[in-house]
Amino acid sequence: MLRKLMKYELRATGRIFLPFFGALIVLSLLNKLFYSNRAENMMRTLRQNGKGLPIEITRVISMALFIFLICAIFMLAAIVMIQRFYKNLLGDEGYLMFTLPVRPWQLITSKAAVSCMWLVVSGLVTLLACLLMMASLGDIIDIFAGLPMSFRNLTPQSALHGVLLSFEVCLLMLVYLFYFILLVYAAIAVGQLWSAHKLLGAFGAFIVLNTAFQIITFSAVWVFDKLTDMISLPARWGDQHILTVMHAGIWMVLLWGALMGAACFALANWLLGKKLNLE
Amino acid sequence: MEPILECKVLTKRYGSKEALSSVDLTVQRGRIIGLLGPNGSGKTTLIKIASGLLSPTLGEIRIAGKPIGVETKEMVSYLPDRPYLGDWMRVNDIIDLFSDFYRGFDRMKALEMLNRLNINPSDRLKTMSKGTKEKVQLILVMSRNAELYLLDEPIGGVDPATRDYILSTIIGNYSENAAVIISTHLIADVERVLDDVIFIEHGRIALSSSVDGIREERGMSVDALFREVFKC
Amino acid sequence: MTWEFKGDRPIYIQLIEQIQMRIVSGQYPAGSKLPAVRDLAAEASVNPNTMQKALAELERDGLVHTQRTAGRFITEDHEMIRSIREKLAREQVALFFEKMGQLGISREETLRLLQTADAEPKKPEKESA
Repeated sequence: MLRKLMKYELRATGRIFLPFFGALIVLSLLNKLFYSNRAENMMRTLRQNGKGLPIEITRVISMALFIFLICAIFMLAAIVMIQRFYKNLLGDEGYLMFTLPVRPWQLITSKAAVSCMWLVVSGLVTLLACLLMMASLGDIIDIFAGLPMSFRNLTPQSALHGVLLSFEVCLLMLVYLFYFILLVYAAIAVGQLWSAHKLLGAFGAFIVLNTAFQIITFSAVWVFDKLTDMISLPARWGDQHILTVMHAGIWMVLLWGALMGAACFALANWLLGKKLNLE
Repeated sequence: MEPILECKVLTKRYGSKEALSSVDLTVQRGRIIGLLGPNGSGKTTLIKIASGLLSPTLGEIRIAGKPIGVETKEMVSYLPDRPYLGDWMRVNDIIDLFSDFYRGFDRMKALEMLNRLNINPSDRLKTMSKGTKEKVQLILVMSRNAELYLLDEPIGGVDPATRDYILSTIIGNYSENAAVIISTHLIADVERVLDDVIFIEHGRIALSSSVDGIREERGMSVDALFREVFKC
Repeated sequence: MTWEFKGDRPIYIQLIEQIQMRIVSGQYPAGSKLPAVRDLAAEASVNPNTMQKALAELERDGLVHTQRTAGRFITEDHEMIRSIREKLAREQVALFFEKMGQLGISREETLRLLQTADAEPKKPEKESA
């Protein structure tokens, strides 16, 4: 059932995102053309003839549009993330979603996973568009050709750390992205309890939940700090490789994020399962 | 036989307002029941609790002996009183969705009914009139092979010809294993189709009887009785 | 003949009467097969259980009978159909006398009126309609 839910979620959201991604790629290619060496040369001659202004303006607009579109895509990803939960589950369309023979956790998971995917894909498409615009094919080949060179100086041990660290950082971002999405969902799920002021309730709930999680996080850090002081861990860590300490730190932050995400998930799941109020 | 729907002291409060007050109700399979009452009497609240869209404040509700959950949603086919399908979808997309999620969905039946009402399955809902959208929803809901149909105001906004079609669909779909609950305030139109009626007022059950029982005992139609009970 | 129902009496009783009418008038000929309950209910736009009840009642009176697998059939007992026709006719006559009584017309006068009405040439359908 989860797979089917995700399939329909992808279909419902894909039709919104794909045109934007397409437009961004087209604009990046257009900009590449406008700012190529040949274009620069042409501009120079045109400028000397005093006829450069219209093309100059077009170039500037095209670049501005590109930057604007990138901002728009990320805003869109955030809005769709909220809309698909607020409107599709708790609006009129929720009358269908909540009468399907699926469990609330499946609904939440499908929404969160697809939202997260679109945020990541938005990042990747933006990266791709920038690469396309700025680098020529030769440049890209050079970058990849240069990779073995830059890795040559690495010892096997530091290479392992490097790979591990990049993996950890990616995972860290993913976990906190999920946490944020689930925090928003939990807030919206709390908001629906006030049937007359759902949106206001969601805003309030977000502020309260977010503050609560921050207070808990700070308290946890404080306790951890005291604890490590007490058993003078830093002194013992002093001998350890600095990278090992870093890995340990990242994993702790990561687990903490996962824990908070799980708490939000549980809250949203309970509210949608036991306290649903579709009016 | 186990009743298909059973409510015990079912209560729903919105703040201090009571939308349903200690409703006790038993519905057997093989019956077509009219849930009758003025607007705001609690008809929709009852149906939404049975569909799993509202959580009751107090009391118990069971469908075929089971508490509301995935299993009961598989058994219940619910028609809301409003458009609830994504506007951007084509009728075909929604048929796919229904047959993907509901085990008992009869695609051929849905297509046949659409065809009879001259609705093109490749049209988007967005391009349809309000009445056509309502027909599409009803067709989808009635094409499910369910055990309990909950129809909230199915004949509210449709023309007389469509109304007849809807009622004959409900009759044609009759099964001894399934019950149909129709909420409406247009009683004269549905009276003949019903086995039993439940009058609901201010969240309480004011009367529960068979249609012929009312006619026999009071010498008047349910419609006439309704007008008497709910006189303004 | 279309199905019509009045508000003051149970629907199944009205169904019994109307099916009787159809049998007596020959619309459902003696010995013929009745449509399935569900189809009959859909045709009359009534609840299938109500139709079932009406048919069960007719069955008890012997006007229809069920053959285990083949379905429901109208009786082949012409005598029975005739007697029901007469019973229905008597009811109509009684009703007619009652109405005339309400108009203040005596039984003898009513009979005389009937005889003269029968002697008058029939008016064309259109005008009478």
